[in-house]
Amino acid sequence: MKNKIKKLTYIILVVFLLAMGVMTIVSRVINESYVPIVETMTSKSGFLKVNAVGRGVIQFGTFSDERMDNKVFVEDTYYVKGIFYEKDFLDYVALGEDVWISVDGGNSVVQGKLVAKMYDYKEDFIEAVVFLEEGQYTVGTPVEFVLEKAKVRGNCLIPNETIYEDEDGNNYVYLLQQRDSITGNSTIAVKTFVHVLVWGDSKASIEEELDANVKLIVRNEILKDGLKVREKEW
Amino acid sequence: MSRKLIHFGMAILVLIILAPIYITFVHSFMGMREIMLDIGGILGGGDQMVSLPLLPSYPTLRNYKELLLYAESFYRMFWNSFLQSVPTVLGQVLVAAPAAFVMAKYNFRGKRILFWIYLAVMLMPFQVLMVSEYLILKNLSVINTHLAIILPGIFGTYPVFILMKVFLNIPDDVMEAARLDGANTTTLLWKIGVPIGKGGIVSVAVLDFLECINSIEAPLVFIRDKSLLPLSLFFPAISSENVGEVFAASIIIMIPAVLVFFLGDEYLETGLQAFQVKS
Repeated sequence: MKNKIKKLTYIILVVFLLAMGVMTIVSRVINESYVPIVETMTSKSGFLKVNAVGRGVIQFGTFSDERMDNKVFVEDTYYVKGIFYEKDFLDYVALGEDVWISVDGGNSVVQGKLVAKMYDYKEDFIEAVVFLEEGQYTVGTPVEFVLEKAKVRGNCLIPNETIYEDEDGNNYVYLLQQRDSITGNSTIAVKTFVHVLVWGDSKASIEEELDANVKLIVRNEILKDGLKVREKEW
Repeated sequence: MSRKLIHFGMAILVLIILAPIYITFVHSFMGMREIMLDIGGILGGGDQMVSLPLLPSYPTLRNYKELLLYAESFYRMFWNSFLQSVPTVLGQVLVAAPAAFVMAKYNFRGKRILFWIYLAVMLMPFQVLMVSEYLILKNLSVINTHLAIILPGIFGTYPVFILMKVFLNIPDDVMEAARLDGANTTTLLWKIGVPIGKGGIVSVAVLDFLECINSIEAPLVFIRDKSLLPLSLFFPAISSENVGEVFAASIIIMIPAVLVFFLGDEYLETGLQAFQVKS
């Protein structure tokens, strides 16, 4: 009886070890085929290229402003006087940059040059003067304009393709996190809410400060909080 | 009456000893929500009451599924435990048996001093020998390899001490008779020492295996590469996220240890008896 139990114990031990061997292979195959591969990107600080949008009115004549020192139009000319909606966007814009102005209710676009920008402390916006290219314009026409080479400084810029928006309009990203546990080192997607300060063409500036080593997962339909993922190897 | 009291007291002790195993077993079949309801207070560090149910309310195999199917690294650590334990045990028996045999059955100059040195080293905790062992292993260029665990294990003094006591049970008359028949030391060891001391050798092997597979300090100090760590070192890394998988892993790693114990329990008894009773 005792020998039978011993024999059975031997068999169980051998079967157990064999099973663990087989499962080692099975687990490897499953991990390679079922854990989704994701692309990652990192954040960085720097300048974010943005479009500075504004509105104004076409005017004709000379222009002077006490805040402009000697930068005054001395000859009669067509120009647009208006404001930029986002004052921070003009901080790093030099005078002379191209501005695209929609006239005739957006039917035609003409080019202009930014010739003056003045900060209005009372209203807290940027006043701008845009010199229009040669042509005939109707004085008093309201226009909208865009300066495409504006930029803002962001402490944390993240790629737009990593940002999600939920039903309530909140933005979030998925961060790739290493998880050290009994199951070894696995990487998971962790949902993290972010506050977008400024949207750029390809990147967005966010309020949160992410470490440069933090990896953001590129948008992927299957992602959910806590999902095991594998980082795409380059 | 007093006998019944003793039995009752022993039953209580057995229950106390078995309780952690039972808790581990029950929780390995619970979902995360149920586990957190039971022991969330401990894991979260809050003041929530801890409850220990006898059975899971909503039994699930999810923890085992996650562990066995998706935790590829679990297997690596599992095999690391074996890669470190099995050679250590085999090496220990091969080294300790001849050493113990000579110490037990031969007289030579300095034998007593050597015995006391063995005894002193055996009584020293790992922390005392850690630095010197580290320096030796570093000079041998085996730090951060499996050998860093295996080599110090092989040359442990504890098995020599036990086997020495086992070999002391061999009657001198038998040794003398074999010698008269022309047996040399190696023959004496293999033909007389090993068969008679089989119980002790197996008991040493079983005890060493259990010690190796549960070892924490040595891998912690001598191994840095996570891919070489044994399973024992990952158990303390319990967090509220993976506690269910940890319970399941604890049960799985317990299986070989229990089976090895059952295989050697008979010898374990005779070995320990031999340790106590001299012929």
